[in-house]
Amino acid sequence: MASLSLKNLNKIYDNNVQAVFDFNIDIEDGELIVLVGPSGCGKSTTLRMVAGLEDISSGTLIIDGKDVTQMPPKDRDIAMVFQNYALYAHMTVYENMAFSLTLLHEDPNVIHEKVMAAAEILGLTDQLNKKPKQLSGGQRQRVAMGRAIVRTPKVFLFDEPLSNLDAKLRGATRREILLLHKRLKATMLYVTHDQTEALTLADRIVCMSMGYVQQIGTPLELYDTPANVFVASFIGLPPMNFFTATVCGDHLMIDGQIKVPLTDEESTLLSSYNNKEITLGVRPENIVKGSDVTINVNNCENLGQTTLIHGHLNGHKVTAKFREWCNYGYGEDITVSFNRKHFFDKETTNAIR
Amino acid sequence: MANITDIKTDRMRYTKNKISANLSYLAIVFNAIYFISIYSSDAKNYYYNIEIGVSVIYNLLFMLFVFLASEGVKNYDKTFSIVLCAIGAMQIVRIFGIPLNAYMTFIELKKNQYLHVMEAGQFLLCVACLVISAACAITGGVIGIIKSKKLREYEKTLVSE
Repeated sequence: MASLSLKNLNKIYDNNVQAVFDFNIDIEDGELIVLVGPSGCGKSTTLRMVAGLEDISSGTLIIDGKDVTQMPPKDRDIAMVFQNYALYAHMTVYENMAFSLTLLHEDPNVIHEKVMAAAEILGLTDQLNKKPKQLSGGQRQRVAMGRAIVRTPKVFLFDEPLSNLDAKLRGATRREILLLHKRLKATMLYVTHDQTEALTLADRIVCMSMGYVQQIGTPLELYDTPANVFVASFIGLPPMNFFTATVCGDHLMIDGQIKVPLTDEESTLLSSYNNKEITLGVRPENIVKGSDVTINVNNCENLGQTTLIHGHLNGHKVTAKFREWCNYGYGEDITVSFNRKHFFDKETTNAIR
Repeated sequence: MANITDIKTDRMRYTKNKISANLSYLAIVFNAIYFISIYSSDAKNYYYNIEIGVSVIYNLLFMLFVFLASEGVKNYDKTFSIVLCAIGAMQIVRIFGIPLNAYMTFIELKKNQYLHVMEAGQFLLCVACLVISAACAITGGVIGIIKSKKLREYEKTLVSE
């Protein structure tokens, strides 16, 4: 396995559309990095640049200390797993997994040992004589991963590998990928638009928007201390609630009517914003029963252990997540408190720290 | 995995018997060459009898059965391997049919003017094609029998484990 370094990577297409702006990251050997962001944010383009499937407009790509920016894909020693599996339909699982090594003219006995070892890891031993069409989506994706494993590449690239699977299978396959990573201790670069995948899989997450890196950090860092409004809104499910509020010393005023008290620490943090507008962010799980503000309930979604309460706070949509079974009726008022708040500069959208 | 022999045998569980299958295809190819070359003759209507019909039908059946057998041997089927050997042996027998008869036969074109139905060169080509076709089929069949036996025995040990 190897370390990976992306330095000032840019991608400008022939029509002058820039898809990626100054992408910088140093990935340690054995790290699992997840690129996350909405469609069109440049995450797949970045991955394809690493794979060599897209030319790098400017910048440097270093794999294991070696500059591979101009190197053709076949020489980069990278394995990529695609969303649509890209398996050969006329070949069996065994042949699919062995194919890349056969092309390299490896000894068939060595190939066999590698394929069997990969099949064992992925639980495909009983499926080796089957054709891809006889397999479920999850099994096909495991075959695609097996094909990558047998090559023992320096870096694994995953391009939304779970997007074609149903929710249940996605969860199971996600856990398999995680186990695989623990077992192989491989350097992996994983692209997804699903923040659950990002949070559960990643050692570090790269959150992207409009071709720019918004924040790089551990899942907890992104969840707990988002760098800006975009990251705060993208990470976390249900998404964070946002309100425009004015700082008034020891409290915030929403719409000049709703008073949200601040702790001493929060007041100190916002002292330079006194009488200025900021963006207040509150995660649904940080809204608890209390006495500070009143929410007018629209509807409740009971999820078993938790209940999502959708309502309005002085006309602003708000979602709260209570850790109990609740049955509030339409139009009912409930009083709540915000036990954790996030503050963002209204102009720059950056977090106030 | 214990040793290289075990790995080779274990590999057979997931790979096809391509050698036997390819030899079968080769047998078909040489049979086709034989069939193309045999009826070229100056002895006008020598071949215009029931033999030509039988020969055509046999060649079609040969190609069909060898192709079917090739699919069988590819999957280590012992029965198809035996069938392939038998078809290969029949190719040798065929040498003593039309080719030898034609080679041994002279027909009178005009008075005291005789013509070989099949010249030596053509005869040798036909014999060579049939011999190669037979060799390919028999070798493919024998390899198939050996491999299928080996695989069955190995599978038995796996079951007993």
